[in-house]
Amino acid sequence: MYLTSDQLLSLVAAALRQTTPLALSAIGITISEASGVIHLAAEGIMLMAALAGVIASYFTGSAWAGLFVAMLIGLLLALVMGVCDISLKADQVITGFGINFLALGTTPVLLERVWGNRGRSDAVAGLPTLHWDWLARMPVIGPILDGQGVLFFLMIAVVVLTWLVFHHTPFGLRLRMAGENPAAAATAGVKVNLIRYIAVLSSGVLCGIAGAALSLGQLSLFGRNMVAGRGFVAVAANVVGGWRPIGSFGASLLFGAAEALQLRLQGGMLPNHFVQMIPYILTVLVVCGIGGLRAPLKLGVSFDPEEK
Amino acid sequence: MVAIEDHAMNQASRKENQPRRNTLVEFLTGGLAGSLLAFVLALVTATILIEFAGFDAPEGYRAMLSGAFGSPIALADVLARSTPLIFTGLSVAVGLRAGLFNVGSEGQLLLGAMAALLVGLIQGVPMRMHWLHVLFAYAAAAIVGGLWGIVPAILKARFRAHEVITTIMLNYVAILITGYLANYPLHPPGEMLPATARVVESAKLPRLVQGSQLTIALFVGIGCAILLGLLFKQSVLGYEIRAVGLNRLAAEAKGISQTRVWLVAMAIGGAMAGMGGAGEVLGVHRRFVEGFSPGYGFDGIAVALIGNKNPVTIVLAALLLGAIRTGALVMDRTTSIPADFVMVIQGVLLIFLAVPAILQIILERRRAVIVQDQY
Repeated sequence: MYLTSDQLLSLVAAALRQTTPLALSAIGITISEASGVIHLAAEGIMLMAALAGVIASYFTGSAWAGLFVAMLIGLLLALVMGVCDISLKADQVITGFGINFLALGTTPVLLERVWGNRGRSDAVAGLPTLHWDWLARMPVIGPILDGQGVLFFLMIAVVVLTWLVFHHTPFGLRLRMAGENPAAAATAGVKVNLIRYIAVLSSGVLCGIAGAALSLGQLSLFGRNMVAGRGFVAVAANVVGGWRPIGSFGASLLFGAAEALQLRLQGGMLPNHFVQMIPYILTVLVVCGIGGLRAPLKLGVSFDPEEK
Repeated sequence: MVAIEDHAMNQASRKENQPRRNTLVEFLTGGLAGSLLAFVLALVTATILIEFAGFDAPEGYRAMLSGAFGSPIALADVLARSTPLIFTGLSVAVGLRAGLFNVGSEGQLLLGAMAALLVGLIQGVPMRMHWLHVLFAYAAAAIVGGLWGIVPAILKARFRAHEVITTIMLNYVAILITGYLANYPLHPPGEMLPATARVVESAKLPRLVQGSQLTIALFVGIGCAILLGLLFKQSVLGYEIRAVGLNRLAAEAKGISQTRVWLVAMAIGGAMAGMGGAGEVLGVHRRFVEGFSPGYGFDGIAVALIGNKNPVTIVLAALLLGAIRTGALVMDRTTSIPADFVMVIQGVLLIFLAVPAILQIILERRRAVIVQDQY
C-alpha cells in the first residue's frame, strides 16, 4: 500500500481524533488506580456521560451545557463508585462491572424516553472544532492540528497538568503513596481515603469528558453502545502505560492510531470484520508485551484508617 | 489437609491481602439470603430509577410477571431462556473459584456455538445415530470454547496479562470472527439475515414443549451443574482450584501449580460457555444467526455472583434471571419500557453484591447476637 504525504498526515490527524477520548479516560483511570482504586467503570461512565451530554445539548441547544452535564454525570457515577469502593470496601472489580451494566441498561431506556428510538438520538449541537489560519499554514503540524476539536486541546492540557501534579507536587506524591503504601502514608499524616476520593472523582470527570468527546465531539449524536469497548481499551492503555500519565497517553496514542487505521482500512482488500479486529488484537498483544510493569502495590485494597 | 483448608479459609477474606466479600453473612445464611436481599434492593433501586425516568414501573412489572409466569408456554420459555445462563453462570463461576475473573464467556459461547453449527451441518448421519451427532456437536463446542478460554489463561501465566482485559478484547475478536463466518463463507445464497444454513435434522435437539424453545439442553445444563458441584466438592482438582483461588501463594507453596489450575479452570469455563452456545444453535435457532446472544456471557457474571459460585445455587440464579429476561421481552412488546431495563436491574444488583457492608448492616441488625458469637 502506498501512502502520499497528505494521506499520511490525514491519518495522523484521524489518529489524534481517536486518541482524544481514549487518553482522557486513560488518564482518569491512571489517577484512580495510582491512588489504589481499581477503575473498570470507564466504559459505563463514558457511555452514560456521552448520552447525558447529548440530552443536555438537545434541550439547551448548547454543546457546552452538554459537556458540563457529561462531566456532572461522570462525577456522580464516580461518587457511587467511590462510596462503594472506598467507604464501604466493596469488591472494586464487581462495582466497576455493576456500573457498566447500569449504563448499558439505562442508555437505551433514556433514548426511548427522549427520542422514542432505541438505536440513536437525533443530531444535536456538537462541540466546535478549532481553526486558526496561522496554525493551518504551518508545515506538517498545520494539517494535523487544524480542525481538531476543542477537547483535543483540553486533552493535551490534561496530560501535561496530570504529569505535573503526579511527579512535581506534594499532592502527586501523596496520591502515589496512597496506592503504594497507604499505611505508611497515613502514618505520615496523609488522609488516604480523602486522597482516593479526590482521585476517583477527578477520574469520573475525565471519563465524563471522554464520553462527551465521543458523542458531542465526534458525531454530534448518541448511538447505542457507542463506546464499543473504548473504556476497556483505556484500562489497557493505563496498564500498558505503567500506571503513569505519560505512559497512559503514549499507549492511548498507539491504540488511537490503531482505531484510525482500522477505520481507514474498512472497505479495502481485507474483509471489514478482520479490519475491525485490529485494535482489539493489538491491545491483547501490547498488554502481553509489557508484562514487566508493576501495578501500584495496594491496588484494589481498601484502606481503613481505624485499622492499624 | 484440614489445617491447610483452615489456613486457606482464613485467607478467604483477604486474597493477596485484599479484603474480599466477607464470608460471614454467607456462612450464616448459606449464601442465598444475601443474594436475595441484594436482589430486592436492586429491584427497589431500579424501580426508583425507572420511575424517575418517567416510565410506569408497576405496569412494567405486571407485564414482566405475566410474560414469565402467565401461561405454561411462558414457563417453558423461562426454562429455555435460563438454559444458556446456567452454562455461562457455571463458566464464570469456575474462573472465580480459581481467582480469575472470566469476562470472556460471551466469546467462548459464540465460538462454541459456531463449532456446534459446523458439526451440525454434516449430512448423512442416520437418524438412529441422532444422539451421536448431537454428542459430537456438543463435544466440538466444548473443545473450541475451551481452547478459546485457555488463551487468556496462557497469556496470564506466560505474560502476566490481566485476564479482565484480555477476555474482553477476545470477546470482540470472537464476535467478529463468527460474524464474518455467518456473513460470508457460511452464508447461504438468498438468505436475508446474517445467518448460516440450518443444521441437519439429526443434529437438532428435540423440543420438550410444543410451541416453546425449551429443549433437552436444559438437562445438559443441570447435568453440568451437578458434575461441577461434584468436581468442586469431591475431587482433588476442585480442591486445588479453590486453594489457588483463595490464596495462590499458599497453594503454590503446597506444590499446587497455579498455572495448571488456571489453564484447567479456564478450559472448563470455556467448555461450559461453548456448550451453552451449542444448545442455542442446535435447539433454539437451529442455525447461527449473527447477534443471537443478547449477552448471555455477561449475564453469566451476574448469575455466578448471585449463585455465590455454587453450581446448585447458580441453577436457581439462572432461573431467576431467565424469568426476568423472558418477562422483559413481553414488557418490551406490550409497554414502552425497553427490555434493556433488565441490564439496569443487573447493574444495580452487581453493585449491591459487591458491597458486603450494606447487606451486612441489614442482616446483622437482625442477627446481632449470632454475629457477635461468630466474632
